[in-house]
Amino acid sequence: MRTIAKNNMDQQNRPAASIKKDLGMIKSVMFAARCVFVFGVLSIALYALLYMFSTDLINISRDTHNGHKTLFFVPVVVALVFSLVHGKFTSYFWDILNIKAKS
Amino acid sequence: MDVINFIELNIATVAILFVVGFIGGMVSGFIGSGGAFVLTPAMMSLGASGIVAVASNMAHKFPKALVGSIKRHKYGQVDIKLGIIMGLFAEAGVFIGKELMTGIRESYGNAGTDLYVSFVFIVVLAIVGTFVLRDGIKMKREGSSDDVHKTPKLAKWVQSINIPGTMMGFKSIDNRRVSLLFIAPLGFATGMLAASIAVGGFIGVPAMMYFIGVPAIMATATELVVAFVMGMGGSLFYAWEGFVDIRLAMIILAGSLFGVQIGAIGTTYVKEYTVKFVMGMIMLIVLISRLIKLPVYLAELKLIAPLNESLVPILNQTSFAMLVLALLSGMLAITIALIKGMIEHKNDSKAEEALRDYEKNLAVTTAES
Repeated sequence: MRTIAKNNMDQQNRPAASIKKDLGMIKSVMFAARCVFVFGVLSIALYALLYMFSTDLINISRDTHNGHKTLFFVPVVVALVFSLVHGKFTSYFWDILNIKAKS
Repeated sequence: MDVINFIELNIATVAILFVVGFIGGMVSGFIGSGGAFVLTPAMMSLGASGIVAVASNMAHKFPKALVGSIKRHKYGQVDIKLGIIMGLFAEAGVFIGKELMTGIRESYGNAGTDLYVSFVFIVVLAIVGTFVLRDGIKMKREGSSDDVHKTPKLAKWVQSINIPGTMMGFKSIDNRRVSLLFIAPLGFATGMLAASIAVGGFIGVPAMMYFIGVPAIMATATELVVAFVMGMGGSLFYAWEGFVDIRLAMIILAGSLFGVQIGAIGTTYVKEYTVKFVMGMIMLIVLISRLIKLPVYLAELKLIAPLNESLVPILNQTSFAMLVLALLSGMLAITIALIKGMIEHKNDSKAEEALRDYEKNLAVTTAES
């Protein structure tokens, strides 16, 4: 009797659980979409800045090579900032295309 | 005043660097390294000087390795402690390797360093590549899976040696202890190789697998930490000398971060032998590329008779084409493994769900009757 009752309850709860699951999935997709947008915009902004200041960045390398070492670390800092922002963007990008790791 | 020439960029150059970066990133995300062997010559053929190409390649490699290792850490595949320790020893290897390269260049010129690099490539790839590929094929034949990782005999011996004061436990080998005196030369060799052929992982990954006993998937993930530590130090060194063209590095990074994510995701769907198979295959194709180029360097150093003038560009182009082929076949193998793995996983999930439903219905029917 207990099993039948439990199974009946499961059957009654099933649509609710299914809706809950679907809602969870929609929420996670929406979150990923928001992140893709935010990090995508930030990523594009970084590349736009790179394009705008490319001559200055090259001059920093040239000056460093010629002995003015004050700003030698700039390329490494630039690389780290790009990796964090663009790395997040690319991660959410594949998420939203449903290319995810095996769970 | 010493002036370095940084190349002019146009849409075609940017597109080439982006695509090569993507493919290189995918291979790196999957086997822990790779891509550099195509990127450096590709940048040089676009007009960058050798040193700028190497420096810019390194400046894109360490952030890529950082992103890849963070991703694979989420999947529980990274041994951070082992990666950092190996990376520090590798750093020492990089600096000694660089000194060695400089010494060879001063004594024998560029052809001398090219011959040295090719020689190292051929020896390492022939021995390690064949071994890794053979092992991968053997594992597939035996039907081994990740659940039953077998520690190689050599690794068992290394783990059994107790040298007081130097022992350290590692998560990737179930906290078994290994002497730092074994790890130091492995890290050092990885750095030496990275300084010579820019792909330290061709030694680092097999060394972790066969000497320390780290499973292939964890070894490739840990290699990303090694590459980060090593690449960060190397990049700071090159940045101090003013050789980094950050525009080139960031364009490659734009593509490679898309690729490294896919490569990392791919590792969660495959078995150990697939990683070994892909790595061995890439290594052997790169080996063929270097063998094709060898006569050119030997002739330049007058160690063999001069080659026919029309033959040199053919050999150069064929060799470069083989490098591209190595990357493309790596990408193809990873893509196939990923798609196959995703489909299998989807089918398995569906089958599990159907089985659960069936069992539930069966219980209801039994109870009713």
